[in-house]
Amino acid sequence: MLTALWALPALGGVLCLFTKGETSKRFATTVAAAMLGYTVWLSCVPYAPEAGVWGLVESGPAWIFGIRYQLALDGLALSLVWLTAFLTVVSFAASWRGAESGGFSAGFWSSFLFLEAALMGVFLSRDLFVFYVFWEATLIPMFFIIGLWGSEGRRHAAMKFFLFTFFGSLFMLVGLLALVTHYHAVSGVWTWDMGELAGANPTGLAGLLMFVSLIIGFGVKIPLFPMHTWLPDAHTEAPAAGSIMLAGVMLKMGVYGFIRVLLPVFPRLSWDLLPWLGGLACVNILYGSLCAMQQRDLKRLIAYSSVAHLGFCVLGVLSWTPEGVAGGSLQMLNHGITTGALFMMIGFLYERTHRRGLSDFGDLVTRAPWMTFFFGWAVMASIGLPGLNGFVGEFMCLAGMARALPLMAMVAAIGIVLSAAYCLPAYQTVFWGASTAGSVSSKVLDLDLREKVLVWLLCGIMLYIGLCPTPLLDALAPSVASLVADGFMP
Amino acid sequence: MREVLGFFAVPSLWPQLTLASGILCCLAAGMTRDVSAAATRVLGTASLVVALWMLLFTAKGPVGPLLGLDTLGLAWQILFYAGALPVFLSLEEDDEVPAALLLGACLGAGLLAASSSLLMLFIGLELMSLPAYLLVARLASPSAPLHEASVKYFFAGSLASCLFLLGMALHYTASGSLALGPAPGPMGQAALALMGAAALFKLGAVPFHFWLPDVYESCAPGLAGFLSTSVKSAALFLLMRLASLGPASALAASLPWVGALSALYGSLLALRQVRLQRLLAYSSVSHAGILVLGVGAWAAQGCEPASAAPLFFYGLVYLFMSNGAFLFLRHSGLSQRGDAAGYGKMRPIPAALFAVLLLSLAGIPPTGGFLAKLLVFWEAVKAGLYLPVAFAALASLVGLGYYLGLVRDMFFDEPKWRSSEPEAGAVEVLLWICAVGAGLLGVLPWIFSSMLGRLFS
Amino acid sequence: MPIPVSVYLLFLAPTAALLVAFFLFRPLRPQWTHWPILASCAVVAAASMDLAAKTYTGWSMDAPLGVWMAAGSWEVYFGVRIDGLCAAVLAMVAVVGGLIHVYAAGYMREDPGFARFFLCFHLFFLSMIGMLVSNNFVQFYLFWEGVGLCSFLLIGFWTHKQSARSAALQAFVTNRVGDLAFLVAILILLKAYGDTRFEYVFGQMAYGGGPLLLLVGVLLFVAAASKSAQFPLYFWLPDAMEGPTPVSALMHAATMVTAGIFLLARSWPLIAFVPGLGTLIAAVGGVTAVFAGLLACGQTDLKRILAYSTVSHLGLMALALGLGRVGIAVLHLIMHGFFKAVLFLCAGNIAHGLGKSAADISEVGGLRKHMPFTLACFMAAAISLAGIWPAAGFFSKDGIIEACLEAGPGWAALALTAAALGAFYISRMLFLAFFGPSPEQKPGHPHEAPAGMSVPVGFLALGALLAGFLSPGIGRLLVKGAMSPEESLALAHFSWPVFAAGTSAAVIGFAAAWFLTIARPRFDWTWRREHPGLQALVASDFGWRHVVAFVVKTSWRFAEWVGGALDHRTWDGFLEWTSPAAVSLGGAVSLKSGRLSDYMWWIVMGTAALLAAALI
Repeated sequence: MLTALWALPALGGVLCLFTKGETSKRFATTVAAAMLGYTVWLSCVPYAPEAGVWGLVESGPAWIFGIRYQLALDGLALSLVWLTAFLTVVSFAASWRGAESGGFSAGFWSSFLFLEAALMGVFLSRDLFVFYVFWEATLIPMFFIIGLWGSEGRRHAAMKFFLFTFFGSLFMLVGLLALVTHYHAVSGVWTWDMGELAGANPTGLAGLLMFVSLIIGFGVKIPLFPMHTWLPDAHTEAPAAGSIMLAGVMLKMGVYGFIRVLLPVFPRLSWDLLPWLGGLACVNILYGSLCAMQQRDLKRLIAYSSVAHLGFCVLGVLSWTPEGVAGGSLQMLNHGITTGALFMMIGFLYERTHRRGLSDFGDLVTRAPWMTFFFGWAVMASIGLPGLNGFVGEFMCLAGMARALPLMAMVAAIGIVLSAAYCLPAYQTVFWGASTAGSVSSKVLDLDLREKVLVWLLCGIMLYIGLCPTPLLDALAPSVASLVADGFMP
Repeated sequence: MREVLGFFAVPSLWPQLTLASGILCCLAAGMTRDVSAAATRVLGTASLVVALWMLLFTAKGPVGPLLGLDTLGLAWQILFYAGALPVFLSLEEDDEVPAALLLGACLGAGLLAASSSLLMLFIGLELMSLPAYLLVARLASPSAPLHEASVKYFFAGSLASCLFLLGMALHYTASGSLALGPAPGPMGQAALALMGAAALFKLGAVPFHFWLPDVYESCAPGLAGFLSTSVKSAALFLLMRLASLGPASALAASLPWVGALSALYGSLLALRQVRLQRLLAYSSVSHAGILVLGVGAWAAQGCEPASAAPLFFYGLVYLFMSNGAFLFLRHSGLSQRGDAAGYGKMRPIPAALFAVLLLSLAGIPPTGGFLAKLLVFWEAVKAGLYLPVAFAALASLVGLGYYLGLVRDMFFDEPKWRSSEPEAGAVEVLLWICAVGAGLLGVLPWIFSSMLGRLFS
Repeated sequence: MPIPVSVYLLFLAPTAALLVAFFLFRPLRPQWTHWPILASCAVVAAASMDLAAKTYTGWSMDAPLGVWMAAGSWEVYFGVRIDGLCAAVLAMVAVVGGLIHVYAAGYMREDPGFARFFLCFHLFFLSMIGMLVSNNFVQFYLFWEGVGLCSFLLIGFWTHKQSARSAALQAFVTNRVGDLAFLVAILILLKAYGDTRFEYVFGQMAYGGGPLLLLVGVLLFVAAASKSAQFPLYFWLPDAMEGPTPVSALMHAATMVTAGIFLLARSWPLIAFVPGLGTLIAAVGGVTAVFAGLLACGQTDLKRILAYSTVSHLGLMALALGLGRVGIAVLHLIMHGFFKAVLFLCAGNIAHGLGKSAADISEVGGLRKHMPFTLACFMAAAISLAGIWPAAGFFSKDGIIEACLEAGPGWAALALTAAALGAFYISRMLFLAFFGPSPEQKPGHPHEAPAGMSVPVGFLALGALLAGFLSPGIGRLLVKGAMSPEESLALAHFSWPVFAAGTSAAVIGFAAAWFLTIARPRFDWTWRREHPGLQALVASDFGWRHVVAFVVKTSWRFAEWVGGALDHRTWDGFLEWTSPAAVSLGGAVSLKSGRLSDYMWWIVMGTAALLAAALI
């Protein structure tokens, strides 16, 4: 049941390679839509209450050294699985008009299916080894997506993306090996099981080294300052669909690693180092915002804004409070949806004009009122306007951190001023304003029906989460509670 | 007579005997005028396959004072013979000699595996090396300078043999025997160091590696594959034997550092190469470094045969990866790095296979190369060798620069030239086998885990 | 407790109207978009009257409607609180806001963005109402920011105007600074009490809250200062005139700027709890009142005069509030809503009559002949603003002056100066626009606005004249169900000395205006030419705008430095450099000569090293 979540898209990806042209598009989209349906169905399956936090568990035979193929699903994983399936469909729909024109279209569609499979695997796996394999497996399809179907700088960006993240993964791998070996030394058991390792709580210098390696591993993905510079390049050069998946889902892997691995395994250290890590998250927020302010390219701007938003996620998760962890988890979803929508619309613009620069546009409000409307909506969600999803996540993260380290929460809150200062001028330049000499606004057609339906869907979700996040928070609650008891400080 | 017959009756040596008869058959076939390349190919391949099959019937245990088989010897023969299989496809002349030489080298490796004394170890080593020197001259790539590589290989190899002999002598002096046993005192340590240097030379570890890029570059791709798999596995085996003579020796203690250095050095040098065969040569230096690190970790944990499984797995995966990579060079006819640009757009399928091999060489999950590297690193972590592991990991990162760079060039660039029609047939089939093998070993390693379990229990 | 239908209507009517207008009218009949919205205004006005009446009879409510966010035992609710304070302001907002809606329907008739305008406009209104009835700080913040968003959209409504765009941006970002303070205050309250319901927080406060509460009070004041345009965060408000006139009217009279004062009134128990904060608020308010009053005297754009006047009046409200007279501050807020709405709409009518979006005093003059009805309305509002009995402004301004006289001579000086300045600038505007024309003016041929635009102004002018007589009622309403101490909500009583002081200040201002505009009609133009330094000083708000510009530019430079030099060139440049560096390193260590003897040499060296390791 859970294996199917990653095996089906992978199989679909393989099959898709044997198709051609329009067929592969239709085939891949069908598979993605079916996966979405499947995840929705999974979220309706009533779990046995005695199963505890993990609603569904699937376990394979033990292999060498305690490695065991184990998958499990809880609210947190489910929300991200749902996000993955949803954004895959969205990114397909966003590239409907020939984003794969780099050639070899079957490869384009199947890469996304492979990516979906790997991402599902990351969120489902309960065994750190399996987790790591899936984690790394996400790199390969994304490498090809950026490199084959991206824009001018794609060659360099793909390489940079891969090298950076591989750098982090190497640290993570060594950290995991050390952790497992350490656990064996303590308990005499070889295991890679996340739940079992959660009791390890290594401290001292060895623990610190493991902890730092894992931070680097997860941090590159998030990306935590100062390991973030791959992100603007990768986001900018990737095709729209690639940016959606990259920002929407792949960045979440790092935060997910924080919640799933880092905090449960190193409660002591992560509490002791909270000022440092929280400080890093604050730097992310402020530094990312400042960098975003002076970008002249829409995609780069949104990319840097992701650095800032993910800082909020980390901040919330690190706070060890129910509202913080729940907020961090929710903010992952929020960011996926909001940034996904933004990248999708930038993709629409790019599709029409092959430009992304702020100064290439102007006065779109008369040319494309719907695009202006929806983009504004998503921008408002992105800067955390209450009533839309971004606020709920950010607010809960900040509230959590305010309970743990109030000063840090206050510093992080400055991000809300900065976010307005980088998003709105860009929005005004592109969509309001007067069209200037070099502007390509006249080429922009407004959204067509397919695009409108998609964006309505995304914007509707933003509003829904903004006003009524409780169903999602309820789903996340058991996972959050299993990490932090109420008022628990390790 | 009885003794001789009794010797033949020992199943442990049947693989070696098979290879010996293979050599005879080749030479006999050469006496007839019209021997074809196909016949020697079939003969050579058949001998190896039969030798591999014979391994099923071999039993562990001593055979006389000089020979004997143990777990490692049994397991590693698989690597020697299987690694040599693709090279027979490179035999194109109507000449029986190369086939016989190849089988001879395999026989030498086989004897190395079955030896239980230093003397036999040396004989096996030389029996393997001498044909290799000749083969490098015989199966040179057309563009290589005349026999230069072969001469370098020969002379440098001779120096290594001298060192080994000197080490043997010291070992005999220290322990009073040529049997594979510990030699006490500083003299024993020195003996191990000298013999270890010879083994590291064969393996191509830094700083004994200088011959290696020259040789790999100048010989036919198939032969380079053979050298990097069978011959290198034999050298690895030799190093492990030596390390097990003194798990706590200075040699064993210095191995992790030699390994880390080689891994990093090979990667850094490979970054600069423009000729693909030379690039793969440096990559093999890098991989040798990781193997040496693995031997160091193995020694640090007491040289238990059972814990040699990661090294064996690495050898197995490397067999697929390296042979596959050289097969691709032969298949595609590419020689310069720049020529690879856009190859993926012209011939997507072979390029994709090569990409799998490259990713595996780089150690990216879910390929076999990742799992192999992981297992070796893990052993090293268990042995507490954190710093060498960190260096080796750094080397992997650097390695990504050229492995992934090749993938990038092949797929993301526009082709600048029209490729020649690739060679179909057996080469292509073997390429498929290697790529799929290298990939599947990572995805479904449990297929092999049972085999590993049987071999190393 | 059953929740009255009126409460639901407050939310449902505007929401339904917005949805219907957006999905039905906008695509099909954009020129009818205002109908559902006007209907909703009527419903809201009726509902708020109903609630005011209910409250007047002693009813009040504070109830949760549902959970907004929850995690573990941490929860944030949606809720409604209707008490006297809320009901009084709500009634004013509903009535004044509704009438401005009617006016806007006429004013924006010809604009191509009519539908968009009305949707944003009504959302503005909805946000304000939601804010007034919130029962906790987080929900308050939701609508508070909603107000900010709508102001952004409406100030920048004419998107093709560069000045409108930057004014919108400036308004939003400056407001965000206040929002930041508000947000941090909420975070502290949540940390301290785990709940942000007003009732709960103010109740718990009595048991102590430590020094954090001090911070909360100050932060709330910063938030209010940015929204209610107090010095030093006032500068966005005069620039916000770039929006269409009904927006300015709505923003100044009913929705946006009153939010800050309302927030302070709402959290008065907390603010009173912080020692010295009241004095600080009063001081800032007083300074703002005089400062903005002075600037208003020097403006030439009709709407800018009114904008600075709003700032000045907001300063007066803050002054009264800071002195502990919350009731009077709120009363002034309500009265100000009436007369400021009239003034803006009259300015709008003048501009409309001239066929422009804004008017400068050099373009008008002698309008009394062309626009007698507008003159009447304007005069009613002007005497209300100047605080002349019996107009509405008198009742609240009198209260402020009384409070200041009680507090001390310094305060009294501030209040009286502000009052005199108010009388001066509004009379100046009146004289320049409607009398004259002065020799420097180029009067056009304006005409009276159509009925759709005149009638609402007329009603509002009646309010501006007569609403003062409702002040005892408003005073009684304010204390119903209030959380603030009753004495702070009490209104002033009539007293002769206060009347004399206030009225004489107004008369002085009036006389000065008469002297400088009617008696010496060239003065207003000549001083600008003769004293360019003084003119520049006024144009830059006594230099404050330079400071703001400097801060903004410096921050922008800093961001450029971080994003460009630091991040892109230095750090990313370094990381990018590692790759060629690795290649060079490979070259440096290759040691490759190709000579066999070198190979042998290295083998020997390597062996020697191993031997050395073995023997040492």
